Amino acid sequence: MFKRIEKAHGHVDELAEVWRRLKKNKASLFGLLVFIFMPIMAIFSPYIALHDPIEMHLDETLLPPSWKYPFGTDDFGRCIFSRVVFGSRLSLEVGIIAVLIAMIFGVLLGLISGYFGGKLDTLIMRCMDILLSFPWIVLCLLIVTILGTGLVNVMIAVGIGTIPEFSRLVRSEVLIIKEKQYIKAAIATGASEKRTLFRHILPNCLASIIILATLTIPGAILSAAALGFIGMGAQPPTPEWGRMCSDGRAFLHNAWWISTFPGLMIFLTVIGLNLLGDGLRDALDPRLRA
Amino acid sequence: MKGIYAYIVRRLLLAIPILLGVTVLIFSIMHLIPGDPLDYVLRGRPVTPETLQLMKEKLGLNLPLHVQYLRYLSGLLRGDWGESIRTRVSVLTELSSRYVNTLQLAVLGIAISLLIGIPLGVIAAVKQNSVFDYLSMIGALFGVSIPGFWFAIVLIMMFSVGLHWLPASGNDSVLCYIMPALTVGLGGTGFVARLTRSSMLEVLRQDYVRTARAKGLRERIVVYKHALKNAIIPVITMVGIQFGYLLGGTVIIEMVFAWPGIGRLLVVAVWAHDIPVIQGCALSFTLIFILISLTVDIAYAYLNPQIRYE
Repeated sequence: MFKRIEKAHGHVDELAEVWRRLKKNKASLFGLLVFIFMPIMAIFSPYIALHDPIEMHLDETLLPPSWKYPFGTDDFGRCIFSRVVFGSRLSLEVGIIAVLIAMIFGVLLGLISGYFGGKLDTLIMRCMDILLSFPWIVLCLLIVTILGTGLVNVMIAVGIGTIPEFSRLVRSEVLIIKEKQYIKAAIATGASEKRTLFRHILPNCLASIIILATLTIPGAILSAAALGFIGMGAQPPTPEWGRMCSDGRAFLHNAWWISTFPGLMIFLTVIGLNLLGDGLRDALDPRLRA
Repeated sequence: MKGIYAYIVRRLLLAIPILLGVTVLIFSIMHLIPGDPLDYVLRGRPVTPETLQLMKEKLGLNLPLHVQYLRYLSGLLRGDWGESIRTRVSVLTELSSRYVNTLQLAVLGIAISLLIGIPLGVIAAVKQNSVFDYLSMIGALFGVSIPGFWFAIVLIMMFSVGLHWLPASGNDSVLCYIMPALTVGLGGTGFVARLTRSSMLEVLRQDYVRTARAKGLRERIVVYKHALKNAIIPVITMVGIQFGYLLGGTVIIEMVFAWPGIGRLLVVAVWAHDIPVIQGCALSFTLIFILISLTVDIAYAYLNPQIRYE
């Protein structure tokens, strides 16, 4: 109690408070564990993996899980476990980069839309409505048609599909913040529009932006995996989880492990990130508590 | 009741600019793909310069862009959606045999999500912090986090490969509908359950619920007549918004179960760079989406009279 009062200034206390609230929720702690475990697996893949993820062992195809191959082998005799471990890199990359793309464009458009209002606002929001009237995967497939298949294009496609969520959120925040006294004061003291927007308004939207980002990363990972599954993403032999699930479909009757483990990893990652997102939302902004 | 008709008309008028925007975007794919649009039609077949010129004129590729767009738009309205580059069949013919299948899957999916999700959410809210509450919310979280395609594969392994109970693909018997509909409904169920729960919790705290209880009404009536009627409104709205996500899910699920719908047609067309079919599929998906959003909005206006007069 005293310790908290001693430190009762600035960000340290705020972070401690967030941590204190997050800690109370056991489910979000599991999410945090996944959140920490995923990058570790991604960074240290070469040390965790038992084999080369694309090396074929043609005399050891379709082997069930064993000590040598914990998740079994696929039809080329590749180690599923090692492929899953290396696959974490791709999923993490896709999730983060897609959301970054959505965040950068969405936040900019939302700031402009909310701050300047008028025709510009109408134009931007109508464009967002048009993007939103496509089912997400149809929009992604159109973008992939234009850009071609591949992991980078999937990131771009998923990112573009997520822009409206950010722009709508930021716009509604700006509309509220714009009316606050301190913004009027900033403008009255001669702050330029750019300064008002980026130094005064943006920082006040950050909490919501961060919450939305953590809430959209799992969705982005799922979408990218789904696109990988239908062959639009990473091309073989890249160990992408969605693609691996799809490749295993030909062997459901004699090698269940090929599809099962990559899918399980997607599931665990997404559920962990969802739990962390929910927990963070509750801890950072109790108003939004579901 | 008069207000609702005015609302429907206004809502329909609002959909027109969106539809135009959608067609602009879909039209522009043809010109955004790298290379000459004709390359995709010819696919490397050798042709004389005269034939090339003729084809250009037939497809209107030598006209200015806005004229081409207007031609495309009037074609859409006249029922000329182009023809598949691959099969030479008219796109509208390809679509008409398939869209019912996709619609069936989508509607079944929504029905499952509402029928399971709403009761689950209501009971979880009424028994807040009970074992049932925790279990159903964990279940709901599973629902929104499981990749649909993987869930479908697990179902196939269990019920087709393992138990031989259900067919793994096709749509020629009632049994074929079970696994695809469940898979489409799964994510929606989790989503609806979570939303219903939080919405119910909010409503159960309201004064009018306390009044209803104070009057001595039975708990059943308080929960289902007074609370649920109000709590359902945000759920309906969000289902409308999330429907695009659900419809997106059907594309993948159609691929897993070899379901002859628009989703499968679309993916195969993307593989084959069959631009007219891609355009047709994208447009019909968006039309279905806009139509259902409209229905949901009207249902919302019906449930909540305030919205009609805004």
